[in-house]
Amino acid sequence: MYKKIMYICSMTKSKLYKGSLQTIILKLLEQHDKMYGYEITKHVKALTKGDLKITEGALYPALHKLEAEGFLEAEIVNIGNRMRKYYKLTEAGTKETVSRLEELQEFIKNMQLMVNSKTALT
Amino acid sequence: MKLTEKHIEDLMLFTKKHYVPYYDLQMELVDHLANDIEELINANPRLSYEEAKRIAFKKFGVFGFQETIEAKRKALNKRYFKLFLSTFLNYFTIPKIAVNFSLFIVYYYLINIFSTHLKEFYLLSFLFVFIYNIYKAFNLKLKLKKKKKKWLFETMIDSSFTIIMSFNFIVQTVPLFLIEEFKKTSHNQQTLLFLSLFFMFYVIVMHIITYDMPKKISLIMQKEYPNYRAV
Repeated sequence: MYKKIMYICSMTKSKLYKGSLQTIILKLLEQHDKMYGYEITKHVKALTKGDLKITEGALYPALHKLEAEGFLEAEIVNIGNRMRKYYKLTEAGTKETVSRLEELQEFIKNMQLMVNSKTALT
Repeated sequence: MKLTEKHIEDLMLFTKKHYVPYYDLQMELVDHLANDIEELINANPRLSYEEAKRIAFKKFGVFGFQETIEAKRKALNKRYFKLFLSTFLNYFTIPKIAVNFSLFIVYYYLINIFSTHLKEFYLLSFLFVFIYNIYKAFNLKLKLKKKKKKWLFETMIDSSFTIIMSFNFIVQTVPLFLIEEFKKTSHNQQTLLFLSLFFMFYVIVMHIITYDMPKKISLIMQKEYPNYRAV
């Protein structure tokens, strides 16, 4: 029963985060010069103390979409026995990050208003 | 624990077996799996490489790499279209626009001369461009087939073959109605102007698909992937 509740909670949480995944990636890349896929998942997990886990099936589609939109550019580096693809923000990506963060903050503000307002929920 | 060359080769094969034959995508997935396997074994040294690989792959969900490959294909399609559009618009800037205008004038001049055999002239001129481009597309297809490494972005060049076929169908059928109208009506110049303009656009689009796009994709790949070889 406990496991089932935990699963439902994590499902709801992941749904809430899903729409913000691209913004999270952009924000992380704004703070770091360049990052690779695995590093992003680890970083998010560490920042949120394991509360938010970006799944592999969601991370790469989001990265590839941002790259195709011209917000990210890739850099391939030979790290010895394998190649590593690093992502970094383009000029358009830096502007997009600012606008998406503003949108997200606006959304959070409105959600807080909705949640805190007694009349809105009753 | 650090994975060896052999492990990396095994992971390359593993992604290939899971329907990822494209090197540009394989490379990223292999690095991800390798990072995860290394970390899993470091956290639990009793875990075998095969077990760690299974756990790492499971994290990609029930569809494995399929979601990733589909999203990448979608993203690259978008990138291809953007590149195509910017190349197309570039043809209407100086000095390229002068070449296009000359082509338009020459075709308009010839179509006026052969206006009594308009249908034959129209079909022959389009057939000439079509065969030339099919030849170019076929050569490209062969060149890509010979390559040891497959790249997902290059498959967009390969699909130009399909684009040419479908585009040619439109080119051959739609203006034929106009030609019939041209015969019925008083041989108006508007039809000839339209056909010349249509021919100019057809030549530009075909040239972009079989010449500009493969060249541009190759340059992008060379810039992004240090181990990419155009041939």
